[in-house]
Amino acid sequence: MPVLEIENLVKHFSAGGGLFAGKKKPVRAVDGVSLALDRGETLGIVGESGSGKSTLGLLSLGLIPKTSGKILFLGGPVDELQGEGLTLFRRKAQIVFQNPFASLNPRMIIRDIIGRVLEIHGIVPPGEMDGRVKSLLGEVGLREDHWSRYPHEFSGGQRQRIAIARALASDPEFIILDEPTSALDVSVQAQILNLLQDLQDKRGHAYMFISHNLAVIRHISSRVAVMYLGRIMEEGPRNRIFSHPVHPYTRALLASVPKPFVTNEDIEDKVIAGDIPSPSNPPPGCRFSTRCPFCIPVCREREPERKEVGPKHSVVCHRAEEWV
Amino acid sequence: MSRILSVNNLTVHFHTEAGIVRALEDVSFSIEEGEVLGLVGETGCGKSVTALSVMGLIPVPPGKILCGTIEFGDRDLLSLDSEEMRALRGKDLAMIFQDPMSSLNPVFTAGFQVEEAIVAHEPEASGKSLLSRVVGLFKKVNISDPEQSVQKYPHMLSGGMKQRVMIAMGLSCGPKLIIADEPTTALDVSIQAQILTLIRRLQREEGSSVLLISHDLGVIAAMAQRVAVMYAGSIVECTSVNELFGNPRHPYTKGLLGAIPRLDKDQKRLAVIPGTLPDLLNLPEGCRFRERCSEALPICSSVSPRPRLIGPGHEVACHACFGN
Amino acid sequence: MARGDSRAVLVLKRICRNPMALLGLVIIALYVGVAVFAPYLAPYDPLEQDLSKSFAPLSAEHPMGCDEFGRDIVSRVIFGARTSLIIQIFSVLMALVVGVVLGAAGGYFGGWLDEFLMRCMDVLLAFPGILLALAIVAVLGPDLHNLIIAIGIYSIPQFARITRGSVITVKQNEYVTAARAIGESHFSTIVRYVLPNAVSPIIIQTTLRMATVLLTAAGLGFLGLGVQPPQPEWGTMLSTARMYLRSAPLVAVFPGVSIMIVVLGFNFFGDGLQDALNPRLKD
Repeated sequence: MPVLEIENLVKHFSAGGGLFAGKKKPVRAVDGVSLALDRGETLGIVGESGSGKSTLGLLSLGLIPKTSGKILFLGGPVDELQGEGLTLFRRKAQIVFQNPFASLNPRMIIRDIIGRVLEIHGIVPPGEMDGRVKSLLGEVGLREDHWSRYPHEFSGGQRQRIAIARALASDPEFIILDEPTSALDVSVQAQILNLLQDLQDKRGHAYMFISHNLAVIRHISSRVAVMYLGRIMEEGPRNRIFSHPVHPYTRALLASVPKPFVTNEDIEDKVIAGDIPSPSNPPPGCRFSTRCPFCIPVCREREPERKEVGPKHSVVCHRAEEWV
Repeated sequence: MSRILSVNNLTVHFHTEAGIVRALEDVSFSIEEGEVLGLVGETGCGKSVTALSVMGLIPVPPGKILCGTIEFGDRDLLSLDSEEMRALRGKDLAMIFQDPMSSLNPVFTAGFQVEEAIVAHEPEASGKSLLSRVVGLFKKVNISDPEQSVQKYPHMLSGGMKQRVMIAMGLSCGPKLIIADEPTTALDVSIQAQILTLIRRLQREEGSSVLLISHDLGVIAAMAQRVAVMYAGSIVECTSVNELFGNPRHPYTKGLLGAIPRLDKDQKRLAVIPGTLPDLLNLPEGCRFRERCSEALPICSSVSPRPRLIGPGHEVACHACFGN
Repeated sequence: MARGDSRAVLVLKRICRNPMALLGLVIIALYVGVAVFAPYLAPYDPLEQDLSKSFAPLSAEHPMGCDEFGRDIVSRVIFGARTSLIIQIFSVLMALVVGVVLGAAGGYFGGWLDEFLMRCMDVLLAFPGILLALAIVAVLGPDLHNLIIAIGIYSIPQFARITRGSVITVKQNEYVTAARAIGESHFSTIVRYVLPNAVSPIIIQTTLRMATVLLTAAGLGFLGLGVQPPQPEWGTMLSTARMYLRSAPLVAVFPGVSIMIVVLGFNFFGDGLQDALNPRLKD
């Protein structure tokens, strides 16, 4: 059974309000997303701003309340969890945030940042805590004597390793990684990505890897879901998505992203026209219709349904059959 | 083709509470007329300091320009006083910043800000002709609905739009040299291609030269004709873009290229440059990359390598590359 | 990887570089020293009267002269410092504890709890501070304890507001979300993650409040609603000296100047602290 299952998840943020503001349209951050995360796999979630990918991550952990839909962890609903059940879930599901400069408590030393996880879930008896913290630090490539220092004494890459150690401390079933390397230099990113892979090989947890960087997603994922304006446009095995993308958005994205080693590429005709619409005002019909070069009248009227176009490969597009 | 910009032996230090930061050390490069030179490097390499030095925007103190010349046309920018620099900035020398969100003044309309940029150098411009000139510029940078857009405030514009306004401002007086500092880093992937093709088209039409600064090798590959790679305040390699990706010689360049995740092929693990960036307060003797270099020779710990020709139009600052 | 100073050391260094803040710190230190060691420093018993020395001029034995009852003013000023410090410490402590708890709860949980608490604070704030303190003292009766309670109550809303604002800002940081993600309870999150990072504005407010409280206590004393004579308190001393302003102005000068110096001291230090603690200090 999948570790995490999401069915028709919707999250609307109400914007503004107050006596004089009148009714403002809600921000439809996540607008009907269904997916599943299997044990030990890496699901890459790719999207730009307004796609809802980060909101999806927070929702999956129950860190923000959903508007409607189902979130199931090993078959049981996440949002109904309270007390001990919730604490147990928190032990099994972890998250690493994007900004290494904001995700660690500036007032806590590293030992406590990681140690709190051990304390809350009683992972080891109090006497063994220090030892466990040190071994976790070693696992993520940091020196043991770093445990007594404060976050501000570390670089971005090192802080991200600390965040990863914190996520590992409770030996979770899956870890949500929300743009974990976007704020890091290329060379540091390579170290962190290798580390994440090594840890997964060793411990067998699953990742939901959220990023806007297509190359990184390609490198690390086994399956990929492409999000746009709160919905999944295309989903499938990593190799299929990158070698045979079907959805016009996926294809345009892959064609237009500047690639190293391809010099002076003429991307003029691969450019996706227009701006990303606001999530509080998605276009009627298919969300990509305002920018899609293949848009036909039905695209503006009706939202397309999900269609299978290959083994475990599905696409949300009226013209899907034509592309296959 | 004449030389538009020639930076020679530029050395810039910053005097901070914690000590002296040797931000740039003996940096030399040049840009020809109509050429795009890419400046690539990671955090702390000095690429932004280089851009600010050319623009004359380094705060002195705490900054200190120890030596070097910056020849623009037939003048040394470092010998000009602030009035003379001000006359150049926005006219012959334009800069596009990274974050359009914070580079535009929120209390003035977009059109007004571009008008200001023109009036600063052409005080007689005014009224209808000025406005139509601005509308023309907006059209040129592909801002939709230019007549309406000139009246919009920055918060009403999307990120891509704001960056186009910045570009319009930069281009307003027909600059000879445009310095673009990470112009697409803060933008979404699908918008990035739009802005890059815009810059390229304008550059070709106007015949301007561009100093393109980026940490993204894909952007560099797409846009630049020549590339200079910077590391910890020095230029380590400088050559044509094809040569850089096809035949990199400096160990750092090779390491950097190996660390990038690829869209076009599978990599089991990313090549990692061991170690971390040096502390600019506490730089080692000799080559700054020595501690992380797998090809280091004994001489590297005592003598800092200077750029030398290793092939036609291909310079490298490395002892190991020359075998002795 | 840079080994930095701990935050407290960095703050201290900044304060030491600021001459005004240092001056303030010195004044406060002297003030506290005088108040604590009053019995050893005062040359005479502040309550001892000697009518033969009534309004005695400045002299070697009485560097500040004597008041209308022949009591040594130096001793009364010294013991007055003690009284003031007691009022300051207890009333600010009371306001701090209550205010921080209410403000943190409102700021962290938001919603109706926040609305309710803030409206309560608004009610308290609707009264001009000194009038509120006055009203409470008038009801409870003028003595030291009631003075402390009154000043404490009227100081609560400021602490609540500052705490609430700071908590709301801090709460937006990812490390607070991270705390919940690892399973911290709300209480634990507030105590371990939010408050330690929200503390700077509260500390500054505390320091500046000390000055305000001193003035309020002196003011109430001046109006006869504070500490009652013969207990020495600077405001009360000023009040009684009012009657003799023409004939013996010096009797009013010393308590008045003392108030001024101490209030300035707290203000200088508070300002310096604000500069030292402000966000520029961030990593």
